[in-house]
Amino acid sequence: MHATPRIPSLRRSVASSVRRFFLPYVASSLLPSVATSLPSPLDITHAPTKIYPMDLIYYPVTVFDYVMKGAVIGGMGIVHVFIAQFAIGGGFLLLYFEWLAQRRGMTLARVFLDSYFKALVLISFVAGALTGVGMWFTTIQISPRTIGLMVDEFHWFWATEWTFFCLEVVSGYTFYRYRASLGGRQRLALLALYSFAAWMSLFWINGILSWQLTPGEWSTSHNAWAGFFNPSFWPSLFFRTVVAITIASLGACIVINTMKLERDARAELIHVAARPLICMAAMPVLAAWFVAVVPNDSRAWILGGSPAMTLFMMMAVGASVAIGLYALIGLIREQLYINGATATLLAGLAFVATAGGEFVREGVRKPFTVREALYSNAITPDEVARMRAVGSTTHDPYPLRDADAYPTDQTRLGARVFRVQCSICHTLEGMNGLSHLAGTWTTEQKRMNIAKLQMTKPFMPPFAGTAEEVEALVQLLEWQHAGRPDSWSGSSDPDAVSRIQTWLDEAGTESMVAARASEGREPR
Amino acid sequence: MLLYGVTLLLHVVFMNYVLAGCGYMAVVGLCSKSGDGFRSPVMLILRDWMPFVLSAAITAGVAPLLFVQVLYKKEFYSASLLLGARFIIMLPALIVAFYLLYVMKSRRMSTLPRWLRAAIPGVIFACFLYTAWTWTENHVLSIHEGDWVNQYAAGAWSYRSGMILPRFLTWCFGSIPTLCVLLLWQVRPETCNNGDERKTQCRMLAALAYGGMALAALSAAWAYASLPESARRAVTAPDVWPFLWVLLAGVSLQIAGWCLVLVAGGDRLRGRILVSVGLPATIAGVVVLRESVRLALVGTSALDPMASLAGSAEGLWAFLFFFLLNAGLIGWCVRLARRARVTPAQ
Repeated sequence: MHATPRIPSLRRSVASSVRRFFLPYVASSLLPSVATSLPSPLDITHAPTKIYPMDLIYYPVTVFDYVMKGAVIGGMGIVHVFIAQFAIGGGFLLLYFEWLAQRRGMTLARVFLDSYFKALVLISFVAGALTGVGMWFTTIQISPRTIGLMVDEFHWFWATEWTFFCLEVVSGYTFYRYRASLGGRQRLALLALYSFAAWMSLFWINGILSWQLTPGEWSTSHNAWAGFFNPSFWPSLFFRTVVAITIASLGACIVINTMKLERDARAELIHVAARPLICMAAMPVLAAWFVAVVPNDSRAWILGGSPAMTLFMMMAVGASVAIGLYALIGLIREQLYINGATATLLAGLAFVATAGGEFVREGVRKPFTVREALYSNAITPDEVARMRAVGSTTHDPYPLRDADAYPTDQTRLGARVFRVQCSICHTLEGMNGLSHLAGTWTTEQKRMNIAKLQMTKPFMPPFAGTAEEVEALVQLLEWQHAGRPDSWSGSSDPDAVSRIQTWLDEAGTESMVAARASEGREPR
Repeated sequence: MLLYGVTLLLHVVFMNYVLAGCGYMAVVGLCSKSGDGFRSPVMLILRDWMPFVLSAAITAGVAPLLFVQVLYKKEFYSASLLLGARFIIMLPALIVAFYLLYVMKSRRMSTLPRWLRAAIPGVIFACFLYTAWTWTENHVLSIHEGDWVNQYAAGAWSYRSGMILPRFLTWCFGSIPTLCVLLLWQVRPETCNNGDERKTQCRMLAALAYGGMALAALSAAWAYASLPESARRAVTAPDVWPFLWVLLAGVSLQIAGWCLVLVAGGDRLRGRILVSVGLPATIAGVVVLRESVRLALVGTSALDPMASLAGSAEGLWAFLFFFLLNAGLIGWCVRLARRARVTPAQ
């Protein structure tokens, strides 16, 4: 009889393959690469020598025509910050009301909790989360090199923030969905967890954002922790915490007015929800602390040096004072009742204050987007000298989309220079349009003012290009001012280019901020 | 790279639930003449859970979005810039979809006029299809650096490539088995009127899963055929074999598991465990194959310095500490939730 050949079982074949191929791969490749990628804990204190891969990468530039890019990102940022701070302050407020319900027997507190959390979920869990993602998308569109530098420096900090973001969402939804089935201690614990997680997400992002204005010791050591705990970290963290509580309280007053309760019950809730507004008393001190630690040039712009910055600063201060006085005197001391319209007006003022404050915070960073590391147009101080020699557009691979609209090669070059160096903050004819700003200048004034850009306005970066590129930009502005005629003679005057070169050399490649610091007139 | 893969896997699980779940709701919306279709156990679960799962998908998506910028900065940023407004439009689409999901969750949904019952889930699904398409387009554009200059010069609204549609279909059909696995755990006795209804629902999920896997396999074959030669070699390179085995093992486990579900109607735990183990294995294998294609087309010369810079950057230990801490706290929240379950709103 023939023996029946044994067909190897599937299970044995799979096990054999795992032993022969998969396990050796894991042992030889995967585990060592994981092990070697983890630095020693001792490296925490050691500031490694950073190799900054800031090779000049030309990204395709998004053009918004008449809308200033700063307005796009500012608009998204202000909405996101307002909603996010509502979520953070809302957590504290909910915790307070839950405590009141359990420890003080306030029966209306639970009723308020249900309505308020619903608003929190519908507003901040949806629009807040998506505008947060929107910030990523928008910053990539506006300045990929800036967000790229921030990601390179702080991705582990951002990843840490993400873990708290996850905790915030899970704890929030768990409370919202299962609150009726939970005991008192569990409810308090969940709300405490939610509040803590929300505030910690502020903690981590605040360090990254404040680093842009006051990088502190990071400028010399390139140590990320030194950059994170920078001079403006603590005042901005505490200030934002107070703002978060304020927005949450004002939002609570709106929500309370939508609840189907008797007026007396609503009044009782409003008076309780308004109590946290007492912390607004700390805002002047915190604001003064923040102003004291920002760079001298930034402070000077806030305090009158720049009309736009000063105007927005006054807007923020004025709106905050109005809310603060009404809250402290009207709501807390006089126990006034406010209806939905008044509550909405106060919340609107809070939005105006937030908008003004964020605009000032962003604006006083100029000419930098990361102080002394990256100018607003995403060119590093070191690259300025290089681009003065080789040109800012020489290696830009991206052509003009509307090249046929320009009558000469010179105006086309000017358009490319504008795209690389100016379009981050300016339009040609729209918001902050160069045609308007330089409209009254003579041709020679344009040449000198652009060549000595950082002296024309101290919050402008130095021009990072050749003298020919300056002239090309000047001709572009002249042509634009003349109504974009079909033919344009332009300029081929070598003396003009020579004068521009002289002005470029006189101005140097440093910003006025750096120049003053080098001279010892101003601390960095 | 490992963290990118793991966090992408987590995001994909939630994302698949959303995409396939909204597709299911759209089909029910179109086909259900009365509002009864909105009250089936699966529909009630989807209507109830979808807003949370979308929130989870968005939250989980932040991490791979961060890591892809560390690993593939130039490619990701360039593609995002080239798609420009198309990319930004995802945001209002997601906001609209998110709020409509809350409308779907409400009790009023099943009492709305028929055209609204069809339109609302249809709009939601369209928003997510747009999002999925845009991300696929972004990814394919990012791995074709040679097309960037022309794409910019043309100012085109979209990027055309033979790779986009098959990849998009692979992800869309591949999302169906994920939805089915998660629903298999969610369809519990207390969510159904009786045991027979539960078995019917589970068998329907098995059929859907098989259909999804078959269509995903066909689309994947098409996607493979659309790859350039270098990428095809990368997918079948010896380095990738272990992950191909993982993928095949995952698919095999799912096939076997769903067979048990078909037979026993979801009562047997073994079937559910098999599909639950097979699913992440399948997704992990797909993620690795996807990255091997990307590396084949993008090249690894810029990747190594960036990866080592990322590994040595300060803050890693703080991240690991808080990751573990917060994972534990999230686990506590989940445990709390399991003890205090509620049934979906009728």
